[in-house]
Amino acid sequence: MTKHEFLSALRKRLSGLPAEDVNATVAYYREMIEDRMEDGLTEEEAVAALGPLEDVLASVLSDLPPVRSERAEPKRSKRSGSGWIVLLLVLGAPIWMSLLIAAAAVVLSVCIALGAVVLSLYTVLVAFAAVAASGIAAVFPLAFSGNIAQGLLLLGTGLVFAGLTILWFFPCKLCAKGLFYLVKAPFLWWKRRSTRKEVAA
Amino acid sequence: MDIQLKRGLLDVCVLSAIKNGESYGYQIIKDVRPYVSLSESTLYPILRRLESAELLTVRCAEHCGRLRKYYRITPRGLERIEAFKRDWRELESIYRYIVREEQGHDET
Repeated sequence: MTKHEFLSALRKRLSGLPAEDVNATVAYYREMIEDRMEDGLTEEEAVAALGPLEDVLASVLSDLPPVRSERAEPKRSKRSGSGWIVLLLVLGAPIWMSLLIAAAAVVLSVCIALGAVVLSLYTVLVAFAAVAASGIAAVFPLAFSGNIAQGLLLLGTGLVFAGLTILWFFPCKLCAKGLFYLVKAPFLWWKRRSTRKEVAA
Repeated sequence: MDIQLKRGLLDVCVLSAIKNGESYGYQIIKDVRPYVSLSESTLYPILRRLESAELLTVRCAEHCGRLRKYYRITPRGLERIEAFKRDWRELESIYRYIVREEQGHDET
């Protein structure tokens, strides 16, 4: 290969780069060939001494910031893969979007159902407490009006329900706590994962 | 030799080749050739890197009817060589630590 052939091939392959980079690179290799020729080598030998054009290009491109080298060699672009992924995501949107919405709806409805169970437990608790309170409160008017037997019956009922209220309170609290942790768990997991990532980084 | 290690070494080699006066590409290659193999394609990115780091300056001059680039070291370039010498002393003590066991075996 002659000097002219080598340099024009180099210029052609670097055509995607800014003109000043191309000119500087070509000038450098021209100087190298001419210095070798001055040293006694023939033109062919001087060009051959630079090594294969591909190697020269590789070393020129490896020195440039990645964006510029990508522009210089569109054939080596690695973005075609991600382009396909974006296309698939867009075209598949009707499928995966509806699936995603359905999954979110399922999760939400499970949360609501569990919440409703806990709410009903608490409603029972409030009902028990109300019966207990009204039972005990009703004793006084009855006792004053002389209905001792009825008063005692109501007092007994009130006390039984007060006991039930206290007993019922513990499973209620347990269920509420359980639901709270169940809802919180994904967030906790996410937080732990991100902190672990930070530690690893 | 390890590429990372060689990369840093070559920078200092090139600076050292122009330490005592300006030189040009092919001359630098010829000067360091007895010690380290350096091709044109390897030298090019090094020169660009050193120039953008202001460790050397470039000037174009006519030579036999054509242009040739001459490279001259800057004070920062000289400082880079001195920094390398300091690093080398540190490296030597690390090297002695790494090989201490082998030497211990040799002596016994």
